Amino acid sequence: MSLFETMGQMDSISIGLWVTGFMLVFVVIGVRVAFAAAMAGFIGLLWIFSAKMGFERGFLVAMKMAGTIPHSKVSTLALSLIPTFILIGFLAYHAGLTRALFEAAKRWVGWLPGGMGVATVFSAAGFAAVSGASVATSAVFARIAVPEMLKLGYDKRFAAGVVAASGTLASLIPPSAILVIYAIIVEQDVGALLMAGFLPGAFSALVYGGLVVFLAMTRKNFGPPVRGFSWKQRFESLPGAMPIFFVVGIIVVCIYGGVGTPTEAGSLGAFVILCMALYKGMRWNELKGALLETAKLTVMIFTIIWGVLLYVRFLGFADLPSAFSDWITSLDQSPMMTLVFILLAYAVLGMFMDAIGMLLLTLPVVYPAVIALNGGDGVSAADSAFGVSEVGCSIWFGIIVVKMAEFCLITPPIGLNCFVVAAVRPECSVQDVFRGVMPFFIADALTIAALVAMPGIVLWLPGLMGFA
Amino acid sequence: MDMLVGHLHGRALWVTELISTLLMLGITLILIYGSYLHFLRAFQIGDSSLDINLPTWPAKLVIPVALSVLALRLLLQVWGYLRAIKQGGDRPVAVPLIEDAAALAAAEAKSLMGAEITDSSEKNS
Repeated sequence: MSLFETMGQMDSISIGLWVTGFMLVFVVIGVRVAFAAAMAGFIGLLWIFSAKMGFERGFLVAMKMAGTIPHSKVSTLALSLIPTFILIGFLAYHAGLTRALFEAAKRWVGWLPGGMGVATVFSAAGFAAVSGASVATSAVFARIAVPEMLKLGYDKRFAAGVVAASGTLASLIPPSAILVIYAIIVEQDVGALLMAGFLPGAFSALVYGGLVVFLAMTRKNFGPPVRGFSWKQRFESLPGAMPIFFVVGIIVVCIYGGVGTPTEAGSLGAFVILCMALYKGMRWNELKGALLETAKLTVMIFTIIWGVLLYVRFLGFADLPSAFSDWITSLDQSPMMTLVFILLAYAVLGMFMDAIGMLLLTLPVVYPAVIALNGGDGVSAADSAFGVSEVGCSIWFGIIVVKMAEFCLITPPIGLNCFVVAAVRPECSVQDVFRGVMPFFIADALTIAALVAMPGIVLWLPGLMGFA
Repeated sequence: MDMLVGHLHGRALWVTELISTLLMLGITLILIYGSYLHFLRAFQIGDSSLDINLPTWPAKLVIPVALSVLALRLLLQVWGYLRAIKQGGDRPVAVPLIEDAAALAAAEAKSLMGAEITDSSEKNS
């Protein structure tokens, strides 16, 4: 029997497995994720249609089907939110926000033990939320906050660790492009996901802040608090930091209050930041730079999205996700145990891939399995395995995987945030940063455990909106 | 995922990169034709949007045009890798070079310098 006949007689699930295997090989030999997924999707469609109607007609059908996807998938309204969030991020660098925020945070929380560290955590969290870029936030704050902490006699490893860890707060507090992408891939409400990220993000920031206070109280060589700011000085520092609260506020109010669509909220946020940046002295060159960077990043993300959706279209024909779900629900262990294994797999994968690529490549198969583990479509919270309804489960899992992807940025051996801090601060080696970030690493692991154990933290806000 | 490929050097690296670029070029060419057919169908039947009757074909034409530009770029890269394979050497022209985590972080930090400078000069002025 020839190879082609064998290929033609395979059942759809084996085709799905082979094609997924091809995709992994493509990714490993260095094909960009978007193209690896698109190619796998096309090969899969070609395979399935050729088996049914012969190679030539199969090729034509597969090509026509593949050709419709870049246009039809990218012209979704929900996706228009992504460039607005990215533009907010790039304009934020020019709006003088980083120093203003740090100054305000210093005056308001500096009196705490380890006050400068706490100030760094909160100002970085605020900036990260708006810029949406973990690595870049760590780089910027390594430049601003670390020298001030060193001046006060903070341990250099600790100072570097605070900065590296604080950058990871980027993806949960709205605006968050990665949560939008998740919502689109799993066909969940974008607004609900953005709202769901708010509390876990703020919770993580509080955990970091509490950790800094705890470390400063229990050890001797940690920096002293910064006292002596009057209330007048405190309130004077606020206006410079206002745009951050304004942008986050607009998005929360628009979506939570149902005032506008997420896209309208994002555009309004971008407009506010643009005004702020112009006021702070941004000129055409910087604006051009920000617009170009926004276009580049948007194109990159959209390309990955349609590439992966091409693969998803094929998966629909191959029935692979349902086969995987059946297998995973038939495992002889508790669903919670399986979920923990899935999350551990993400922790490992996250060391090698960036967050967006990792989530987009894995979610089409993993997400239906998680939903099935919870009890399948339309399950109520009472009957489910994790104590959350189907909608609740999809929101909750999204927040956890995104938190997981951020967690990977400070995981040895290649947590990018730690490398970037070491690159900015010549006095710290990469090892120093990894040692400094260790307490935050442990705190993050506990935070993820808490989110897994208590879905209520994630689901409370979306629940008030009528989701869950 | 560049980690594994990042360990290769010289010709071995360029050959791997040539293969992945050819694969990307292949799928791009297929998609150009497929999306062109998608455009052509909309153009021939005069398809328009439901609400205000905007024709849909211009938006659909964007895809094959954009992918054609990408195909040209990939062709240039194929040429660049072929040249690198022939000549050897560490830093060939006209191709994207793979960077490890440290180099990537350094580049990221450097690209932020510009934004940071405007930030601090604002404070001084």
